[in-house]
Amino acid sequence: MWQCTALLRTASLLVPRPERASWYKEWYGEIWHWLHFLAESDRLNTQSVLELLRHCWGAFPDAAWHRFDRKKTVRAFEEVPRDPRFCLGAIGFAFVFLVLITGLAPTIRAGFRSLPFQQPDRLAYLSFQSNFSQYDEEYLFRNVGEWGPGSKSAESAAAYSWRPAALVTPDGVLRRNTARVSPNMFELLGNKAAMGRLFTSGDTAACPSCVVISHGLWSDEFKSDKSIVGKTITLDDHPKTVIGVLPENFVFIYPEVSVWELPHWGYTSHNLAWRTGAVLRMKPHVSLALTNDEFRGFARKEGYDRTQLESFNSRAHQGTKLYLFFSVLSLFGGIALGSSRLGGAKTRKIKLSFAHTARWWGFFAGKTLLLLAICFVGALEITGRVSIMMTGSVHPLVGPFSTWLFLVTAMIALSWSLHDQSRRCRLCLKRLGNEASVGMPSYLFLGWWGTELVCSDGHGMLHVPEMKSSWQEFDQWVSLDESWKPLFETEEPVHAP
Amino acid sequence: MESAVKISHTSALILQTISSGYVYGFDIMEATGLPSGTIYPALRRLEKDSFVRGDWEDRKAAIRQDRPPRRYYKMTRQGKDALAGAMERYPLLTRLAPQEKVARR
Repeated sequence: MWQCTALLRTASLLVPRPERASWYKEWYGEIWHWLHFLAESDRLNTQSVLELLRHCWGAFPDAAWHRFDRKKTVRAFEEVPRDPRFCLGAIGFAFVFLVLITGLAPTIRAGFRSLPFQQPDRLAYLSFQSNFSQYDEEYLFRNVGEWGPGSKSAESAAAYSWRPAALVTPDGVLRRNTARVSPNMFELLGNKAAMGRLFTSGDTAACPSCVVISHGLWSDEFKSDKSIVGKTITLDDHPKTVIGVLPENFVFIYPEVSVWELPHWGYTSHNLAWRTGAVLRMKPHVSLALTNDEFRGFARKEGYDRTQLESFNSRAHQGTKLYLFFSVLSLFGGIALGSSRLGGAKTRKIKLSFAHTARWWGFFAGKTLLLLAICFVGALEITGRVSIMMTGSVHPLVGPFSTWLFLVTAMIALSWSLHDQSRRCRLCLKRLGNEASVGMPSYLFLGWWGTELVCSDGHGMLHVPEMKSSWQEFDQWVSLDESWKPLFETEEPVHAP
Repeated sequence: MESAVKISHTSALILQTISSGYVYGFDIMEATGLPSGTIYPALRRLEKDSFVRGDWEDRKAAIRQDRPPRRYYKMTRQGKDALAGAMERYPLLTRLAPQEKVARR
């Protein structure tokens, strides 16, 4: 009995307070009698008690009936998704959700942040664009080591070569990007360790198996272990000693690297050209063009093809700027397209007030901006993460793929936004409903045929021709006057359990 | 002339059951085979629209027998009219309706 009582007590919380006592009394009385009837007729067993409990669950819909009017609730379920606030809220929620699951969009934030290097405007990035060539790492590191001191435009240069590797962590084996770098790399960039120390010039000989790890790897995989410095980790079956942790804001231009080690001499090791490159610190007041000419000359002399020199700033910000430019372009394009497609439909039959017009375009701009923001965050953040999940590294195709993904999703979002806007009431912005096909398709030349949609608040009706007979034929909006009002008033509930 | 009130099939079945002498919730539930989550909300609606009237049994009688009082449902005149209309709309309802209850338990 106590189980039934507990269920009834819980369900009774749904019942409005003035009716609660009477409601509970009726249900309690019914169950009491039912239970005693079972006991008296010697039918009280596990099965009958379970059946009684199942009946007690019926108290919840009954209690809900007291709390909510069924007709109103059903109508709310139909009407709420039509509301412009629901539309903006749902898209806004999707945006916030996406930002949260990506960890507050770190890639985009990095794009807007100033670079975590000393005088980043003097840093440049020499990359090799050849897709199929492979370079000998020892040869590369020695070459770059010689270019720095012999250069007129750069103070120093450091080479890097990255690849995915198997890293053993307390949680198992992970595929992470590791980079071999010249010992002067962090000195050149001007970074200091968050914990321990970074590489110095003598480490190649003195500490060949030393590694520096990223802050992300330290916090995520080593659970921010304060005693990580001096510990041994296993990288591709080789033991390595951690000598330091990079600061949290450190980000290499490309790709995300978790473990940094020194080059290995004495054996041949090749790497793909696009995974190798060099970082330069230009002398003060030296132009990027001059450095470009000099270093491309060095590279050509040593047989490196298709080299490209970019400043750190432009490399870091170009993607973000491109996406932002396209977002703004899409928005203005959408408004221009909307004003030609929707404007005709809007102004034919009614004159909207300034407030209504502002609300109409404000809603369209807000909705489109939010959708473009979703595309922007999704394209930039998701592709990189999917690549890391699938391959253990940020694949070089991630950049072009995320750009195309953004373009395609932005086009889809813009098309949907326009379509959705064209199906909204010109006054209250509610999504139109009650679609009805009107006319006879075969009488195309004799009469109009198409679809009619109506605002559930009775503000007006939209006529959408099935086939437009000319480019000047728009959807036609007809406002409904007061005489139509009774048709849209809420009816009294009928008996339909 | 005012048109006859239209009620759903379930409401009609419940009215028919009440008119057959099944007068409280669990009794109606057992007679119709409908779950409690359907019966009670339907009874509320029927009562709200004055097709049935719910009355508590005499409290003194219940106390005398050391049991909680029950709420009994009784058809109103409007309910009878609505049921008559429903019987015309749902001719098979008579087959579904329970037999007249002989005596109240």
